[in-house]
Amino acid sequence: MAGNPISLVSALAEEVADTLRHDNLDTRIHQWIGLAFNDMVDRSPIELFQEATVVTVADGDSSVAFTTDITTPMGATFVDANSKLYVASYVSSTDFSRLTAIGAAITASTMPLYWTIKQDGTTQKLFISPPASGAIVATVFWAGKYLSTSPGGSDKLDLPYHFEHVLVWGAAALGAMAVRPSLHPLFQAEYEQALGDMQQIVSYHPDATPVRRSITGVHAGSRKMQAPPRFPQNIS
Amino acid sequence: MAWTVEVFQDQVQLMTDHKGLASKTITWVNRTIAEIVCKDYWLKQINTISTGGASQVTTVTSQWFTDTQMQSLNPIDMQRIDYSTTAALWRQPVQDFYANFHGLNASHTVGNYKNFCIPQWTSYVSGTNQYLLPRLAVYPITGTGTTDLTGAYLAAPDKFDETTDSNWITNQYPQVVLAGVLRRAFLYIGDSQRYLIWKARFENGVKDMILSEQTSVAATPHLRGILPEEVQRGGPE
Repeated sequence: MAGNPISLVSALAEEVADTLRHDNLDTRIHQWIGLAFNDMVDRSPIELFQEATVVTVADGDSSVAFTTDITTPMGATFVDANSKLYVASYVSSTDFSRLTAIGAAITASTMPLYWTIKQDGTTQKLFISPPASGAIVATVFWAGKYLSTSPGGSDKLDLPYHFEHVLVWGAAALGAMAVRPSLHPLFQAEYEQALGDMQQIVSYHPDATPVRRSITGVHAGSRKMQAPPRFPQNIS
Repeated sequence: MAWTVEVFQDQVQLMTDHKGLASKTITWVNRTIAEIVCKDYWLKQINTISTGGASQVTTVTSQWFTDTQMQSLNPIDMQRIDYSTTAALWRQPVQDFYANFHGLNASHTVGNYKNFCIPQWTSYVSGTNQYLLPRLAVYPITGTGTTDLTGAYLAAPDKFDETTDSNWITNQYPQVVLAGVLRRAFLYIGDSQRYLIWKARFENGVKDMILSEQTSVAATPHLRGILPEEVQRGGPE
């Protein structure tokens, strides 16, 4: 007994098959695991399912392309070559366009004041204003560690061992609809309860602060609590 | 006598009248304990970890506690970070953590750490094992770095690999664990009636566990909002 390593998907699949008492489920059981995982990610407001990416805005540039899809942005920090930290305000892409149109007062600054994420053609980009004075390293955080494909047996999911039971209940609930339909409500109830317990973890923080509120905007793809606007809406 | 996995295996075989559930029972015991842990947190599961040396961080998602330190600790959540002997950093949601800097001249100043948050969890691979460990962010990002940082975290119990394994939950509340395991066993067998009976026993057992833990001296009153009577009335005058 030392440490709780993450289980292989094949081990989880075997457990789900055992739970359903059904051995001949092949890769469909992996699909149930993938579907249940994404459901957990979408419904659990904990840092566990947040991601971060680091991009560099080159000297004089105001944008940089992401290499990964930012689903639901939550925040960003900007650091210069001297490790000096700047925290710009997020604005919607519409407000960002207004701000850059205003121009003069903002460009007087040498630090990033505002940022947004928007499509530039087919490319998703980070925009900052004013443009970078010296290279600026941006760390962008977003919510939603979704699986884009069904996991393979040799994969390990980004889920700690102590939450795997939630996933097993979720996958079994999906599978029960096919192979043990009469027991499906029982499996589904177990899943919902386990997921509810997991969600409650946010309320056990010492300060009981809600952890996950999405930033609004066209890239806010899921239904999270809306963060308040941090920039006046009546710009003139 | 310790309430080991073997005891639960024996009981499951007797109660269900099914042989051959031993290997499944060890999984069910592990999952039941994880469920209990997710339903309640106790001071018994809050451990501390120290950096053990000066730590000056320069990136926003830094790791003060090494992966090697963390991998065997089973952290569920970081409760607080203490800096030096007196100061506790203020934990913030990630977006507030960053948003708060706005209005502070949006610039970083060197000084003592003030706030922390957990912007993400990342994978750590050690041999054939893989873990998910919290990455931490702190403000200012470049501290004076002369004092240890201590973290208090919620820990999950180690999972059982052997039939001789036990922990404080199985030893103190064996009947609750047994009820949780048996409800899984009867769901596996497909006996929904007995599943519901054992599920009810499990749920009630967990509630009693929570009460028992809260009324003990070692409970964490503020985590559950249950406080000694005089404090509930407004505290001693």
